[in-house]
Amino acid sequence: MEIGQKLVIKKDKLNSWVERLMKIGDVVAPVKENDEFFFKPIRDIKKYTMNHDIPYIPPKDLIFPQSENIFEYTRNNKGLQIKPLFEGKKQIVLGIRSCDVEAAAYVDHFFRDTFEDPYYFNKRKNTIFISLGCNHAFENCFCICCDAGPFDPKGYDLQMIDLGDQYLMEIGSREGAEVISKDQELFSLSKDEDIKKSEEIKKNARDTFKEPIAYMSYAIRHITTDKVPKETWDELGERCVDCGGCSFVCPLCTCFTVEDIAINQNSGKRCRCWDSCNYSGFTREVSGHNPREDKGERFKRRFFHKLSYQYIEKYLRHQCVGCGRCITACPAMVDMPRVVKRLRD
Amino acid sequence: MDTIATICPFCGCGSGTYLRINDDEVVGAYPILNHPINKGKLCVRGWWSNQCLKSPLRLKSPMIRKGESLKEVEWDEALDFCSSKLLEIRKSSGGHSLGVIGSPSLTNEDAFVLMKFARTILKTNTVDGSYRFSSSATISLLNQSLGLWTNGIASFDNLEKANAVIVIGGNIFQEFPDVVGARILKASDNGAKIILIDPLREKPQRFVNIHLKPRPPALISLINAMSNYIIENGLSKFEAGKEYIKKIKGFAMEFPGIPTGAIEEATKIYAQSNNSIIVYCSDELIDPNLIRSLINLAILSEHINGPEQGLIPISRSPNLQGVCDMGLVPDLLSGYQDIDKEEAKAPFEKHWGVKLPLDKGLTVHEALDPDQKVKGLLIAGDDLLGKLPSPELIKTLKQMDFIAVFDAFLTDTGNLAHVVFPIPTPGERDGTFTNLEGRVQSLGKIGDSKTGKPLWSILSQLSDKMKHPMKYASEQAIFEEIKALTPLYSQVSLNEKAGMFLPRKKSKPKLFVVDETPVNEPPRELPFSLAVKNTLNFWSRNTIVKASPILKREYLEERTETKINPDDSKSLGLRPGDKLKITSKDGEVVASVGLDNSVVEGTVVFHFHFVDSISSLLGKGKVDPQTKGIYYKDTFVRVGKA
Amino acid sequence: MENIYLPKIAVIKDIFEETYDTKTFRLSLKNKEEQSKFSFKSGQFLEVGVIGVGEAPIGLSSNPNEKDYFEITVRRVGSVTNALHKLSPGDEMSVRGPYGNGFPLNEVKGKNILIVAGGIGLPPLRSLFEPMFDIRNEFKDILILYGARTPADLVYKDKLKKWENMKDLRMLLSVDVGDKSWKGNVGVVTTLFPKTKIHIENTVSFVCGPPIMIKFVILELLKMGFSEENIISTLERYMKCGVGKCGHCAIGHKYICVDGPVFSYKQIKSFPEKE
Repeated sequence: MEIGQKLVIKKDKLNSWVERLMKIGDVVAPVKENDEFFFKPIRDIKKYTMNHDIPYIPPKDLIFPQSENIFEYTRNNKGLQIKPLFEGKKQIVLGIRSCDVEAAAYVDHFFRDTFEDPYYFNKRKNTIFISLGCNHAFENCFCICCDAGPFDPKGYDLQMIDLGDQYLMEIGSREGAEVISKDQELFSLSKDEDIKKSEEIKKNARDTFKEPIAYMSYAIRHITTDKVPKETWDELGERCVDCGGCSFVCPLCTCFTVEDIAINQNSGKRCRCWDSCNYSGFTREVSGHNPREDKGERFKRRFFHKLSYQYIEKYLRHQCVGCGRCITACPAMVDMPRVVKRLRD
Repeated sequence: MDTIATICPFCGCGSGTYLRINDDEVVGAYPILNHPINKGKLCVRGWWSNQCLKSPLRLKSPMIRKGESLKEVEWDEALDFCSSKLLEIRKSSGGHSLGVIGSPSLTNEDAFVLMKFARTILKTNTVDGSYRFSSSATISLLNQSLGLWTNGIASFDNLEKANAVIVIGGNIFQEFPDVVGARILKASDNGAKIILIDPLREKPQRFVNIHLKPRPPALISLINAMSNYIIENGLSKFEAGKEYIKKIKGFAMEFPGIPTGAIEEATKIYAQSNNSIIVYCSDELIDPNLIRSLINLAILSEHINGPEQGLIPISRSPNLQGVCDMGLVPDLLSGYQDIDKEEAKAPFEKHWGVKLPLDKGLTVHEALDPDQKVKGLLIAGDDLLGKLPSPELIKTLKQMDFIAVFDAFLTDTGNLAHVVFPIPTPGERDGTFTNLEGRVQSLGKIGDSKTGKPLWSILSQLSDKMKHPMKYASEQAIFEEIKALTPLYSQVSLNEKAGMFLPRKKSKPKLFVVDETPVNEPPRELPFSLAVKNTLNFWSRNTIVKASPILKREYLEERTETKINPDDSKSLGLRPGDKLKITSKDGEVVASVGLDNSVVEGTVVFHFHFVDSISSLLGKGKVDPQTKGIYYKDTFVRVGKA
Repeated sequence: MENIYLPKIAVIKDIFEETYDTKTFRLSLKNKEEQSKFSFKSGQFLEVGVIGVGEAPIGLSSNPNEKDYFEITVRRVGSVTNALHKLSPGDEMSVRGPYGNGFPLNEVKGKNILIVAGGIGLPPLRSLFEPMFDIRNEFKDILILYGARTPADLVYKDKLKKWENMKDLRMLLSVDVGDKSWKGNVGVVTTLFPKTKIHIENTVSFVCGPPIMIKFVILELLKMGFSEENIISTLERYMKCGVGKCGHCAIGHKYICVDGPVFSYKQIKSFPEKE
């Protein structure tokens, strides 16, 4: 098995493969509950599906959870003892969409920059992504405007493409090759017509997107050169309600805060949880001075981080993959595509 | 990781939230994508209030005061102590010397059992809630005008389709963004006209079409002038209108600083649109006459019968409507049935097997008045001292013979109690909430609390010890009893996915007589306006906010008693550290002052919870005879450097 | 991989009271081996704190050449620093670090050094000029101008006399408001500028102190002819992780905890947000 090799597996064999994967670790796949999709470890093989929308909770949550404990501490007569808490079961994420895989590649790069984050990588090294390309766009998608899909994202271990009665499986990494090599008999080598069909599907998928809804390059140019008038940022910032939702649902946002929770005088833990630069308390110093008190400034800052060339240089891509979650999460309708459109007007 | 669907425990919107747990520990919250109320959005409080479940401020076990401080004890000891003290007071001084103060964060089931415990076991009608501090006048006034408060309430989805929206108080977009703010913005994008009447906001947001900025004491006059205009210009066909106008004193449309044309245009838009809705925060507008004027405005323009039109009185508490519905009010049983009427009392007395007490019940203000000689109080679900940190209240509480507090956290009020019982935090309770659309929703829980017991269960155990057992198997059983005794809730089924609306029926509205002198401009000697800002339910004083680190960081406490605009401060010659002298026609006070760019020039904002200073300035608060809450009127003052 | 979030334990060897709200803590890591391997550059900072309360970023203020201990000077402002002030010698505190880019000590060899400090801005600069004294002839003229609000607010009072009397060091003090025993200059620290010879050619200036003071000092220096690359200052922001991950201290596309806190005025000017 080599990187780049393409195999096929018949759809009715998929469950057998999943059952074998469940012996290696948790197979985290989409399940439908309460009319929406969640990525959860499969407990009942009949309960997962490959016909799913983008799950509302971004998969960054599987590696960088909404809140996690960093360490526990106790004070006793021997002094202070600190015990770091690492959790990391092997997990195979099945059916993750291309935009989310592309986002995960960015988040990996971010947490490796300058200092490596041990908690993130402890989970990441135990995680394998088997992505499922999108044959058609979903309601809020605009990944084609962001260079992030609907196929061939950066960093997949295996990529599945739905060919109708079977899946085309492309190997993208050594870990992906390893996973397949144990179950080779369920797969067969792909034929020319399979590859041709997948090419056609890729082409047709692009046509299912609505009118391009975000012109990123214009926004990037103007934000980088600081040419957007302050009025515009004030108008957008005025609508923003500081809920933080956009940062939490975005698969590329990584800001967090750290708090100590003292359970009693002598023991407790330190934990970190997601944070959002939209909050006014994000930069407020202990003295009460806040360099970003003005909402227009905070709003401008968030989009500078997302779309400026200075950041693209650092992380090799701009920080939006067009998943469309912020469109659902924003109460004031100042999500990414609307802001980009507004900057253009 | 498991996800449990529940309802956000914060404000009266009732947004659907998932609580996510990993091995018994709460990891976070996430909005429910398809919930009809919030549709996948949450505000900052919805995202982070679950942090309070891990807070070290949580009560871990019951406590009894031994000597100067509270000591942790076993449940049995605390229950024995509490029940024996209550029996003692009831026997020696009568049931009317005991009182129960609930809170608008209790579930319907908890509130109902609390009310029942008070009336059947403590034998008192002094049953009230801490919502009375902010004078939740809306519910009682709507009841009196329309027969049932649900008749006058618009539903959220109709807010999206409204053609004209009047918003009173501009913070609504920030405070309730995911449910109300989002819908107003959507309506505006669809062409609706947004009229903002906010005396405290300098510049309106850009999506507001008309901004009317009367001086705070002139707000009521403005609303009445609008009502006047509608009738005098034939903008509505309401029959009783012309007769009504003759009764009230004339309110003119001239207000300094506001072009009369703007008021006329706003009135015309509101009166002539289909589906016009008025939105306000019922905890912020505390003057009952203002609520009366708003209800009159809606009635006179024939925009009162919901759900397509009417009022949306948002509340900062999760279950304000519910606890009032459950009868946590001195003179009404659940469903607003008058306790003095035999036909209302009979089904309750039959079901409960006991005669209800005949003494007149006291409101929370009356119960805390030393003259009334209330000796024992049960305070459930709220921190009274957090809301009203006044030395007078501390003195009153310290003089009580017995105080039992039921709360999830150890609060200032709890520290003065004789016994404290831990109840579950939000997220650990089953039960129902009624949101301010009149929708009854079931909560979900992550699991039973390890340290607390549900309030109804503690009361059951107390009732056992007091030899008059009330047994309930579960919250569902309580709800069945509620349905049996409360006509308003009799048709509610909890199997609906997103709750069920309480019934409404079209009714003939009654206009209020607003006893108010028209005020249009300040007298020459009192050029400044004083706005009393209700911070009692303000987020920074909320116990859950104090227990959640991110919310504590975002909602800072007001450190100064008053706030003025920096330009005013400059012209008064104030330097950092100086104090402000404020004089009204009733009194005078020297107060600490802070600067705030968003305060309108010529206005002093006084924070309500500095209640002693306010009393020195305005005298004792007024008690409204119909709503029985205490309030302070905005008025004109003179300010200077102290 | 090293766990960057795990603090080390430091023991307080001694505490010096500098002013009514500022103390200097002399610390040494509890684990002797870790202490022997511990080293830092001038101008770096540590995330110190009390476990159970939190952490705060405090600049290191002792001479990096000192191997047995390191010092931090802490002003009491918030919950963490208040908790630190309640500790006594022998108590433990948590430290993480050193983080930050530090002052360019080696790059300024052979130049004149001008150091302008205000109030609590002197401690991080002390970690810069004390090692300079150890290799004194590698630098030309060294001038230190230090100002505080009142004589009581001056830090390192015991060391100031020693420095004022050092042969190859010029040091001038000033206070905004004097008292009965103060005999020195009265006025903001910029009032010292005309009172002494300040080299401009081949000189690098380091400025630390309250933001208002930094602003006015830099204006004066620019007026006197200093170029923007030769004015070096520090920026402060609310910090949490100290390792460039949490996002709180980001300014423009740089992190103050990783790319700073030391920046030249030229870099500060280029940031999209001004303080």
